[in-house]
Amino acid sequence: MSDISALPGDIVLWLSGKEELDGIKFITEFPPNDKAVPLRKITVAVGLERVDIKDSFTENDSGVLTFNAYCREAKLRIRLAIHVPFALGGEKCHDAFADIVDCLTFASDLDILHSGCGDIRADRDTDALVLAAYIEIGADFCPAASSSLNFKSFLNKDLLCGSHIRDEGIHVTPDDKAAWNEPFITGGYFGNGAPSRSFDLGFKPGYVTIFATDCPPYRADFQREEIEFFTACAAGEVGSLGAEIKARGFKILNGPGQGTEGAIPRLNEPGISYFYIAVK
Amino acid sequence: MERELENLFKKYGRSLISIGEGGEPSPPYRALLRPLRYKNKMYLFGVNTPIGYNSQGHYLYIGPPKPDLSQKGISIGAGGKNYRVDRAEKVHKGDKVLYIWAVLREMTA
Repeated sequence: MSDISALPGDIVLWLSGKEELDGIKFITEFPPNDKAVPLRKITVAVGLERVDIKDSFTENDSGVLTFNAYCREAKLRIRLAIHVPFALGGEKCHDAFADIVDCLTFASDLDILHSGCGDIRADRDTDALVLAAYIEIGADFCPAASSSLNFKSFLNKDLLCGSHIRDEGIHVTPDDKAAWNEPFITGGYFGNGAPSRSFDLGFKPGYVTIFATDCPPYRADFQREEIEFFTACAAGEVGSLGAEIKARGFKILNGPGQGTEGAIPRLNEPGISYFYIAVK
Repeated sequence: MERELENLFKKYGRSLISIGEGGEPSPPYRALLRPLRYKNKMYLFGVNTPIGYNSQGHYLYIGPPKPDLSQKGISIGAGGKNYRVDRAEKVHKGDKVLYIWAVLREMTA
């Protein structure tokens, strides 16, 4: 529940950075330090008054509501205790309230459902005129980032789906999704004659095959008793002559120095273009 | 009586300075400054308010007619601490101010 508990602090941080609210000090309510005596600046204590979480439904094409098993909708009521020094007068309470609500409504991407305030009372414990106000925020727990960039930590789906997410047997990770959406990649290169070349794919392929275009897979030279291979493949930790899988891609070999017993890999010959398929 | 009070402040009083509304300090002078005793324990532990802890610590001040603590914005400094004047009254003998009675409160940032 750390995201919800951090929300008042996030709001304080965000409001404190707004130039238009320079004259107002924002704190989380009941801070572990002394109150300013005398109170000179308008001080707003931000706290969490109420949290309501309910199931989430989506209407399908037929107009039927379907239950979103891993999503929730929430209403969060944020309490704003606006403390204005006696000397500034009650009008400043309403000014501060209006400025704060304007800022949250128009300058943040928060979904402000309601806002309001009660009456002003004089409080001897704080030496202030106190206006009790609130803002009610609507939050969708699905997808993960339900709020603006201003509140990156605000309400992600770890909050409600933590046990599911931690279960690697059932939870689909972003890497899983990426692999499903693009199970393999293809590419090509022109040979440059180097005895070896490495290709960085950004991932470790499960299987890779390389072949020269417009060439036979291999060519036999009976006079020299050699076979030149223009194709190769590798899977996991093993591969045919001239191909190896690496941590972020694959490596190919080329030339007599890289072969064994009359078998020569030709996977980087000048003037030849090659094509590869790498399966994730 | 004025002389007796003056001697009393000099003998038993604490060295203080007054600070005007504009921040200008006075020369040091002596006055009596004592913690206020409460008849019950209501405020012993202070009060936690939404904007921070309020110690509710008040002090009784009895000092010479000058400086005039009933002036707006005046505060008192003593021993590295500053005190706000919550209430100040002039106590007269006839038409002459005999001493100043005040309740002070420690200031926090």
